[in-house]
Amino acid sequence: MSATGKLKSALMASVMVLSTTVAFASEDKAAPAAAAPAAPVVTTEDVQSTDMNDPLEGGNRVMFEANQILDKVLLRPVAVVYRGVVPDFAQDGVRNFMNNLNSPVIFANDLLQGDTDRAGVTLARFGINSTIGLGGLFDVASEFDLPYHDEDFGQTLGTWGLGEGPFLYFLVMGPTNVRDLTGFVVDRGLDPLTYVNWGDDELEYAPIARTALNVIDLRARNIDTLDEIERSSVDYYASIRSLYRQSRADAIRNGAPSQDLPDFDFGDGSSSTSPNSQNPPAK
Amino acid sequence: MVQYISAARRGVLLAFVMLVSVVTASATVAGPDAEAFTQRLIDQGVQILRNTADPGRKVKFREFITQYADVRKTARFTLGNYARTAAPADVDTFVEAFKDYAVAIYETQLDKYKGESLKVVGSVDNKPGDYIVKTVVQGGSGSDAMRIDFRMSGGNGAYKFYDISVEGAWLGISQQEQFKSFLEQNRGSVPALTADLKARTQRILTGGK
Repeated sequence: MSATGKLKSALMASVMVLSTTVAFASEDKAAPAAAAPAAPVVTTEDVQSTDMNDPLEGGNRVMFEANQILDKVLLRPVAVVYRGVVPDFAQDGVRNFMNNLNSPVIFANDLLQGDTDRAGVTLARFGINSTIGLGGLFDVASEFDLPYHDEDFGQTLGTWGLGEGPFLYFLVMGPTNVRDLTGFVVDRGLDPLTYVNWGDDELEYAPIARTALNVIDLRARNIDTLDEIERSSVDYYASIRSLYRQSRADAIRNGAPSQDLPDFDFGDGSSSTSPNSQNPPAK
Repeated sequence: MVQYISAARRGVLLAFVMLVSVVTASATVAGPDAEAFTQRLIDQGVQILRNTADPGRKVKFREFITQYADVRKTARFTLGNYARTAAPADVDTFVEAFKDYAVAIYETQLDKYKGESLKVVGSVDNKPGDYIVKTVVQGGSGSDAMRIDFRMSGGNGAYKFYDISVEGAWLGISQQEQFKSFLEQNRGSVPALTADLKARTQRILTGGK
């Protein structure tokens, strides 16, 4: 699954302390490389403006610090054990299973975005992986050139032109914004599993187990990534905020390049760029 | 007279068509050129890092980055408005510290992919002389690909890169936001940021927190 995809599913599962998996996904490399052909152009709320869109920064930073503590004492250690004890193939199985469970939500959002091609892919993946893939444990569909992609209602609202609203940071849930938080609630409504009556036997805890497993799996896949981001960040909170916002804008564009990247030249001749003065690297 | 105007119109039209062709031609030529350059750049960088037996590889990598990355441009961008308002000497010191910081980050990142293939898959002409070259890290299976893009400036077979994005998130943009936040909390002191950056670089190099 893609690094960006993981980020998105982190939101959907209402999980993850620091779910920003975007950058430098190391062992978590994954991601359908090809952008969808009809990717929407998002310019209104691309991240490149100097406005950080964070009027609640003070409160968000308090939450962020609390999350840091929670992560250090509980989530990261559990994730380290999970990564160390559970064999790789089993971890992949868990991830595939979770992705498959989320297919109805992805399918609904594909359709809400008017992307019938991707809706078809999601449907076909669900059919193949639920059967040949043994209930979703194996991602057989990828072998048939039907790669995984993620969608959620936050992205759908984005494609409809809705702005992200103020940046928010919550304990356990991690980074989000008003639009994505709304999307998260709607996605739960779109999820058929929300309406399943699990009864009061041992299955009663199935939804909690699903969320918990999602949290642990996602955190485990991003141990090195988040360590690296933290190590290299002058301001870790600002770094996570920036990466989250950029990653969400990228997800809404389905990976298409941003239309309004900032100009790095200030027009004062300070840059050392002199395009024709260098030799190309040796072949 | 009518014929004369008509001929003039044809002339204008022809000139316009020629102009469009020239513009179109230069746009289509620049992409593949930037792409080929970037692929050679990646291959060369990975080659330096792969040679772990070479004790001078870190020095070579630094020279390599210094030659092909427009670090000064990136550094000044990450300072935002402070690049113009701070004392020039402070900015120059910052740029030097940023160079070490950037080299450490690029090395850490590229080092991870030295065993895998990082292939150029296309490019976008952002504006004249400014390109986004798209690459994909290919892991074990086809679905295990990760997108890494390079922002390049230049032309005619000579380019420099000045920002890198992983899965659509640009490093330079993130750094600018971080530095802005840091400077706001430290009364706009660029020397304080430079000191922090130096400490940060050491942590990256040693793998500490």
